[in-house]
Amino acid sequence: MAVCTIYTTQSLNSRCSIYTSAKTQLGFHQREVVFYSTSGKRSSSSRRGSSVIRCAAGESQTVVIGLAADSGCGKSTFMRRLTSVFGGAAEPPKGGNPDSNTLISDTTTVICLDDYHSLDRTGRKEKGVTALDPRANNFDLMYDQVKALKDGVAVDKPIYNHVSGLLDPPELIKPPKILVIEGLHPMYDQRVRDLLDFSIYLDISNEVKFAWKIQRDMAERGHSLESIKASIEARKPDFDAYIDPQKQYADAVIEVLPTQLIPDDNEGKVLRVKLIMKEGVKYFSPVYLFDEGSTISWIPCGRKLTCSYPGIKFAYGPDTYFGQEVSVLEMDGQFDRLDELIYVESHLSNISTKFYGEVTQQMLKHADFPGSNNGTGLFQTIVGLKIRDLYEQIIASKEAAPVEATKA
Amino acid sequence: MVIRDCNGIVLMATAAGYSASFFPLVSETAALKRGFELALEVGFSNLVVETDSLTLIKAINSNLLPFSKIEEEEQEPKMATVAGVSLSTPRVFSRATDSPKAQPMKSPWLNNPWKMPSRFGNGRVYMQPLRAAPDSISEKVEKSIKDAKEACDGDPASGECVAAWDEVEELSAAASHARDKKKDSDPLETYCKDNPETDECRTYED
Repeated sequence: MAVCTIYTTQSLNSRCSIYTSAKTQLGFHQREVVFYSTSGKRSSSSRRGSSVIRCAAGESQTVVIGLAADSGCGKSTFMRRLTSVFGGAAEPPKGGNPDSNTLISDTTTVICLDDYHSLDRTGRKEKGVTALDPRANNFDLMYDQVKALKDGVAVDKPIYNHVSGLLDPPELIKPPKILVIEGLHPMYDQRVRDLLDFSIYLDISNEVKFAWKIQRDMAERGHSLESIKASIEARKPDFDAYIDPQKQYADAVIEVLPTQLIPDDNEGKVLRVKLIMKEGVKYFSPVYLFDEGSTISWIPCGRKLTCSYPGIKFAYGPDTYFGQEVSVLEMDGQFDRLDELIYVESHLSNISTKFYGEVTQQMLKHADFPGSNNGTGLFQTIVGLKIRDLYEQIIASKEAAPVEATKA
Repeated sequence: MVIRDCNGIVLMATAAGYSASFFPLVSETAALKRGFELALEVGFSNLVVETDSLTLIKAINSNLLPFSKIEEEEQEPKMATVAGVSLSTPRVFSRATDSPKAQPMKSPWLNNPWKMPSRFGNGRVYMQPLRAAPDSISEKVEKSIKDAKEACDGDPASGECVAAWDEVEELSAAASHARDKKKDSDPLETYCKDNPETDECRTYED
């Protein structure tokens, strides 16, 4: 079977691959050429390699965003908020593998780094390693393919099937305007890390992680408090060794902690959320409250705005994080009413909205998502807006660059 | 043989000579079969079939082929499935099985269970895939927890034990995503989210 490659000039919707079918049926002549235009499929699905289909003239460059977090820590919710800010619904590739982990919208493609597992579920079991372990992941292929996409070249990306635990035949990923790579290790390998234009880490404290997993799993047959706890504890050494250290490289960290508004609260329903933003990142200027660079503590609930129990408390100020200058915005408590949310939004600066109330509008649009009434939803939405702004700045600077080049 | 998407855009096209028979019906059937094979091979699962041969469509929609058996079964347990497409006989479909736990198939891409809605129209055959039932994920979660407990009996710090609990986490997350997907899968709900003012999306309170 021959895999042919065609080169075309770039159009956003051009997908191209031609293959000649290997199967010949009784009665059919040997030569049958099938033109196929949705996802590249190779017959040698057992071989995992970086077969690259060239299909682009790289006039527009792809902006690459990395999102790191442990499983069950809200990556999917974050992705839904992020793609919503960019406009258009993100959906799995049409007509492809129903278990594909990819999401595609007009502007954005989100790929899941689990697809770069080098060991499938059986392989990990035999070797006694977790998916968190770098040995279970193929960073060479991850780097090759993210690099290719960034350079405007489509790739045949493997699919890790979370239901079967097997590697499915690959799917064709075309270079989007914005590529988001989400998973356990987007910042682990330095080569991949260097490709990121912006990176985010979701840091969920142990107490909250436990509470969230109880919420997620308790209804599941076979699960109990013990099994949830055992699973978290068994994975913790690998998590601490390979996932957690990535947060030092992130441009923004969303830290989720138990509330301090209710003494000895361990329900994990009310949350204290911190948005830690690195200073000096190109195209990213941190959000601030009232006065940039000052240290501020703010309780918006009082005479002008009455809040429901346990109230809302904000804090803002400069800090250091792994030896780097950062700005930290913190929100404790939750919104129970719309006027609480809009009041808070109107007091934040540098949130990169395009109109007054855009944050509130986004939060209301997805009121059914987890965290829509607290700092996780608020900060995820704000980070989404900041990424949109970053993308627009990068594109504007790219358009300006050729002019400067001709001058030189 | 042409495969188009819902907007009429050609996704795949092929032409091949067929010399085994001079009867149009036989070649139409062969073309249909080839179409199904290619569609399955690349994972297209919602199919509307159009062919020039009315006889062929009638045959598919009638009791002549096991196809229509599915229609009957569909009404009862709502879980009737076809195990796959037979590639070796001139018949288009192999028999239906009663449960998604079908016997193992030779080709991995035939492993999808298929659900047949009962709307069979003129000259058109509708097929819809049955999504991996969340139930089967639940079973996997349950089994993985049992396995993990066993694996950790001897040494709770062993790689075997840790990998087993990691599998529990992976499957629990997959089960949770499957539940979310199921929640989102109502097309009317999705439509109404974006168009709440339209007639079909109005809710009335008395």
